[in-house]
Amino acid sequence: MEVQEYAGAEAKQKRWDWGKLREPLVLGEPTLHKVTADIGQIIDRPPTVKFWIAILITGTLAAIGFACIAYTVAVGIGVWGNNNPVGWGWAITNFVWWIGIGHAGTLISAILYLFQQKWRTAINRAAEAMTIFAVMQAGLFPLIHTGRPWLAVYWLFPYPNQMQMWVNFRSPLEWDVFAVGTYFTVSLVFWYTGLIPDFATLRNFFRSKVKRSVYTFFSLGWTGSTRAWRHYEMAYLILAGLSTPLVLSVHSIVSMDFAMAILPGWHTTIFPPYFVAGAIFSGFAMVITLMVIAREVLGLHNYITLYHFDNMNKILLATGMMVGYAYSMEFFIAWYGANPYEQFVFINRATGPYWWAYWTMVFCNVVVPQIFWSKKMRRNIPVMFVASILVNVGMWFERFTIIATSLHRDFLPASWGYYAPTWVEVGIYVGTIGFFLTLFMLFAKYVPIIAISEVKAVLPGSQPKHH
Amino acid sequence: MSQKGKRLLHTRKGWKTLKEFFRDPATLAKMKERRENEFPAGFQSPAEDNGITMDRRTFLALLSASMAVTATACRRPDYKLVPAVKSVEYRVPGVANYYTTVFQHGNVAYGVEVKTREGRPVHLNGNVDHPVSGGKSSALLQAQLLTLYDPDRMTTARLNGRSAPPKTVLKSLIDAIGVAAISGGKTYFLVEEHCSPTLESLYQLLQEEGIEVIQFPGVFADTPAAVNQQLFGVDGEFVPQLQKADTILSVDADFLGTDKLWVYHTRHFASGRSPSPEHPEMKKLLVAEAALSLTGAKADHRIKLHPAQYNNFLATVLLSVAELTGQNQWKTVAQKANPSALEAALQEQAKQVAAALTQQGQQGVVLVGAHLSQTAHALAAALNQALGAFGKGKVFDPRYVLPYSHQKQPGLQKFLQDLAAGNVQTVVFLNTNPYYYGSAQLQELLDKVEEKYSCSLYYDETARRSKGFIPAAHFLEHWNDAEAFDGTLTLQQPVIAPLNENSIDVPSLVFEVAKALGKVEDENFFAYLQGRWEAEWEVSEAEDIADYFSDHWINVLRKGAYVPWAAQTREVSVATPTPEQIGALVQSTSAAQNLVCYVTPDYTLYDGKYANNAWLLELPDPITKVVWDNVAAMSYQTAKKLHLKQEDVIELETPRGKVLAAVYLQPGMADDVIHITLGWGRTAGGIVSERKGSNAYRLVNGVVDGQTIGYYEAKLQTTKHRYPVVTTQEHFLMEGRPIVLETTLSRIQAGNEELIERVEVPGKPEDQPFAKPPSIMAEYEYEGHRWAMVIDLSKCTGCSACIIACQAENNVPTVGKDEVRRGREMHWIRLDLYYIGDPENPEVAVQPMLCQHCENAPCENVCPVAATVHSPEGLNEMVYNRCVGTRYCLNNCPYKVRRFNFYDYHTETRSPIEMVFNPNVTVRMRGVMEKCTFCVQRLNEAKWHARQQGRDRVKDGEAVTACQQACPADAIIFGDRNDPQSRVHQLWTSERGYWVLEEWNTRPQVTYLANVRNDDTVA
Repeated sequence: MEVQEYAGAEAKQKRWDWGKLREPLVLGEPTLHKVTADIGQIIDRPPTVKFWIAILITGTLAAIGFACIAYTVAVGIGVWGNNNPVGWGWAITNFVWWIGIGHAGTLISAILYLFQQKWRTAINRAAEAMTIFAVMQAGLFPLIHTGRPWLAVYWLFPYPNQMQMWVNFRSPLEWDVFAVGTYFTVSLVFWYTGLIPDFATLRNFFRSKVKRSVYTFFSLGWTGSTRAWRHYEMAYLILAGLSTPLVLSVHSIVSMDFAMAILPGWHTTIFPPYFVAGAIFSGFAMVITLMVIAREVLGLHNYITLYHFDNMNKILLATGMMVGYAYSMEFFIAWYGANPYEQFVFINRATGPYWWAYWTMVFCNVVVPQIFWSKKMRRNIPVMFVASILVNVGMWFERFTIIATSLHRDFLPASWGYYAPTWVEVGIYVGTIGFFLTLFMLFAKYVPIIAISEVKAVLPGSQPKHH
Repeated sequence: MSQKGKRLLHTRKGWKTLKEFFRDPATLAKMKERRENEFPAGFQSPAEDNGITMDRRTFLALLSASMAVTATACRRPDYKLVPAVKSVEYRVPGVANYYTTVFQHGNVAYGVEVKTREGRPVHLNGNVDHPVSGGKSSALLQAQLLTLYDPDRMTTARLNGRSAPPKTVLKSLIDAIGVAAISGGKTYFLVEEHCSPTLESLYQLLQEEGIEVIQFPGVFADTPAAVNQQLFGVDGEFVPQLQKADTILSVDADFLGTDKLWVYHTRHFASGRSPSPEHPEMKKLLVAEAALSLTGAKADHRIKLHPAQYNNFLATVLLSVAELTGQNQWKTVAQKANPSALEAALQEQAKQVAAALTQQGQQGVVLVGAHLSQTAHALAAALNQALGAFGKGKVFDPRYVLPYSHQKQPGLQKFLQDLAAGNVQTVVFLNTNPYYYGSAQLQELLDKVEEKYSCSLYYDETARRSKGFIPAAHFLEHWNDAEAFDGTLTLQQPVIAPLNENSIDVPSLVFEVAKALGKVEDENFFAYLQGRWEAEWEVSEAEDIADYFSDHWINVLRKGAYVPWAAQTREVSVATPTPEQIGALVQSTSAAQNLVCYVTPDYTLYDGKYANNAWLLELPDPITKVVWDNVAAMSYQTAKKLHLKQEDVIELETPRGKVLAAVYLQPGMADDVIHITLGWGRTAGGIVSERKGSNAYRLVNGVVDGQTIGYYEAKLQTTKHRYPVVTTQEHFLMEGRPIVLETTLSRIQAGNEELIERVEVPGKPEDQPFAKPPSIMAEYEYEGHRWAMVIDLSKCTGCSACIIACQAENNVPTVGKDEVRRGREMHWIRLDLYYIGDPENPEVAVQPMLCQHCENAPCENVCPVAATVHSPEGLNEMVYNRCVGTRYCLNNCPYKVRRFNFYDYHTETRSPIEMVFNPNVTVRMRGVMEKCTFCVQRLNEAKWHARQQGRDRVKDGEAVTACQQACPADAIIFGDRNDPQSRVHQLWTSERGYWVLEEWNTRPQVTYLANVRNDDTVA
């Protein structure tokens, strides 16, 4: 290798006994150069046939989704299953679901960073990318679910106009615009900031002129000087500080779409913390799903270790129990609050026409994570893969249950109804999954999926010794 | 001129002196100096004093330049434009004109007030001065507007299967009549039920020429006229005056629903149904019936009976009434009908009913369904005699007979005999459709007649099989007159020129035939009509009648109702039948309860004549809530016994025929009764009506039975098919929620307790039921008007007139069966129906539900773009232009009264339906939310009128919503809550008043007055 090695020799010389105290974060004791090479070669090697096939599949799904969106916009919301008591259906379910998935990224990058959880380094890049892509999917839904999206696309923003017509700042949907918009912007900046040193590393690593020039462009003239690092780390810390409240605020505000409404089953004060916990739950589940695949496909066993998965499964267990607690607390309050309408809604959830959705949710979100009490299970890749998918199925049904069951039988029994989606709604949902996976695969192929500089920093011997 | 000459011309210069001419330098210099220093030395211009160094020339140059600039800046001269006004007199664009006319629903005349805008009718209302409609209307009447503009109305006349000019067809028709006359064949005119004396006079002229004119309506029942003829010598139906009745026993008489006069009956019934502590009296309604009807739904006490028990039940009531009143002569009559066959529990109820009917000081009356047997009618006649309900000034006043309501069967039987004998040469169908509602036998015989001519609105089943067809004009397009049961005459004046130039109106067609036969000489039907009216005017001795006929004519047209001299002085004496006479009509009946099929007219389509009307097709049946179909309704027990489920397709068979129908499970039905309605299952006559529901006319035969409604022995075959039945409401239980509150008359009479059990509202003092609970929002202050509505549930019968009135007024689209199935019906006002108590015989509560215009509207604060906002007058306003369609407001509306345009429902509007739109109301596009506006366009119009008259406030009664205007029960009261004189203000704090979902602190602007059940003395 012609590429200069920075401190590889030193790393080889020092052997730490950390193994006895704590599991190593990176296995195989790689040199600094090997880290660069391991990650860089993913990008450097030409796309395989498998990659093309995968992109073709996900891209087709995405195209189907966009075709369904175009159909909806051209013909009207009537092509969906929404009706008079049930004004919102799959679209808003998907919106909340994707926003929830987008939660893990910021949590990992910001909160775990502030708490100096070093195990985050292997997964934070992918988690942040997932956040951005998930929020992109989520952002589609509030727009396309409106009756006149060509107007909603700008009327929802407070812009000065000759009619002095402003948005309604009392509406939780308006708060969503700001919350989701801020979250997306900050997440994007945070992600890109983290990428700059890695782009610079790759710039130096690649030999192809085209690649060099592309990554030179994206590395924004990074020199790697001490001064640059000093500023960089301060900026990163500030961004982490900025992002931290957003982790709590975004889903709290999304939950207020429901909590601020008058509808029994929506109008509960437990929603903000309950939604945040649920969002972290589903976000980590999605990280596990994606990381299990990426680890196998890209051969990142040394970087994403069972230790990482163990930690993430612990978080799944904890947040799973939080949502379980929220489910039971909703029932308790419905009984304790002595509001007959609310009592009816919750009994109807469990025993009404949507009982299957409710019990799917309970099984996936409360029962399934309980297997992670066992360390063996926390470190069993097939088990956690299935469990993480089930958790996201459960979280989807949680949102569906909240939306559909509360709406379909509300105050006046004469206006009760039932809601079932049409193929168009299913098509759009599948399309967003395809679009999300397409983006994620492109990311995994062309952007360093592991934060190279951060991983180097947690290699044995890379940090000053304090004892 | 040469070039040189031109140059010379240009070089020519003027000169003043010879020295100048010879260009003396000194002179030139001097002249230059003089030019430059215009003023002599020492002269100081005022301008220079002020430091302005401008000489005169510059000044003048600037002056002229600025003048020139000013001139160009000047506006162009005014040339006033004078439009070439080719407007119609009395017509101001944007201002509505109102005309009176009359709608003939069979032989019932409904006086109509037509609102026209720029020459086209846009709304129909009842005429306040007309005795039948009294300013009110029905769904069927309101929906006539859509029929007027129906694009499926045939536009060309046809002869021998080809388009032909209508005159040719008419000539062919007249020739056919002539040929028939010569060849000895008969000519038959099959005409609809009508109440026009002028048209009837023409029919009589035709009959003088040997032409048979017979009434052949789809829905009829001869028994009342037959019984009346035998008992009173009157071949017709009496019209009960319910304003004079206090206790009404209805045995299967749906006088609030399918009766042709239901608007009239509802008006008078409902006016006696709103008791208050000051006036604690109300009419009592007792109903014995097999299938749940609107009348049964409104009953204070409903007795569910198998139809086989009706006669026994009536006989038992008669027996008890005879006992209670000591009129023993009726006992023998009653005994003939075998009262003892009734089971004991029902006997007990019958006795209670008799006690209620004979209560001191309360006028009792018994109404029986027109389709019931001769025995039932005779027993009812006996009962009404016994109760003193018959006679001049009583409930049954012999003066009040429906015009031309004579028996139909004799004429029809003669027609059938003539057909069978081959005597019929020519048949003319005038708005009649035997190929739809006639029996198979009749249709087969008709097939053999070649000369068939049809005149109807649509190219219907009969028109398709006729040799000649002329499209008929709509009732709003032609002249006629109509007589109400009390003799009131109304001119039917056209309010729009016929939309189809090929059409001919029925009276004109008959007139042309009569003219061709030499029976009349007038120029046209209008002249004939006017001539008859002039003749009447001449004999009238009324004092207030106009001196000139032209004035009289205009007065009648203005008012829309005129009582002719003959009716003013009408004296009818009828014989009082003896018990023996009545007893002769009573036959002993057994109470074998077999499976029967009950055929009635439809609540929405009536007989199917106006079936091609999307408003009516999408109007939910007021009891079953089914749209776009009719169903075979039966009780749960019956379905269980027959192993049927909802939506199973069955083959229903009566001795008259069979039909396929979908099963619908209906609470309140007697067991072994299958209820199906007429008017559906059209196969031709407009693409909207075709193949909707089942044609129940196949189960009946008017020629054989003398009626097309009633009970028939039924057989039932199951099929393997299922058919989707769509309803606008799926859940009919209140789930213990305080939604429709009820109270009883005895509570009101007691006067010392709370009338209704109010829900506990957090933060509201219990002793102040109309106080506002606390709110975190700032309170609105309503300084001007404050619009509000009061709905009296005790008056509302659930007739659904309000729904169509609202639809017509507010351009509410219809969406079709599939969209209703998805729950996307667009009606701004709906009638919620709840069952209370025993599912076998439940009590029914009906509640009109519309936007409550909440003060704390949950919809308002969730809209992100502020498209729904609160007005200073208390309206919850919907800004269509601003709406982006998030549907958040819909989710958050506890009353679920908001309606979303899931598709562009109006793009499927076919010309000329767009003419039906109210120009004052926006037609909404897709993606936009809409809902009741309290007819804000009418409120603005009322305010505008008030301002024109120099008032800053609208007086009570000036602002009227469409639903309120139509409501025959007068259950909807609307007005300004801030006006202490208004009815709404006075009723707002009524003891019966409550707000739906009040505990959610939405503070609705619609107060509901609790339903009152008359629980008085059934003891």
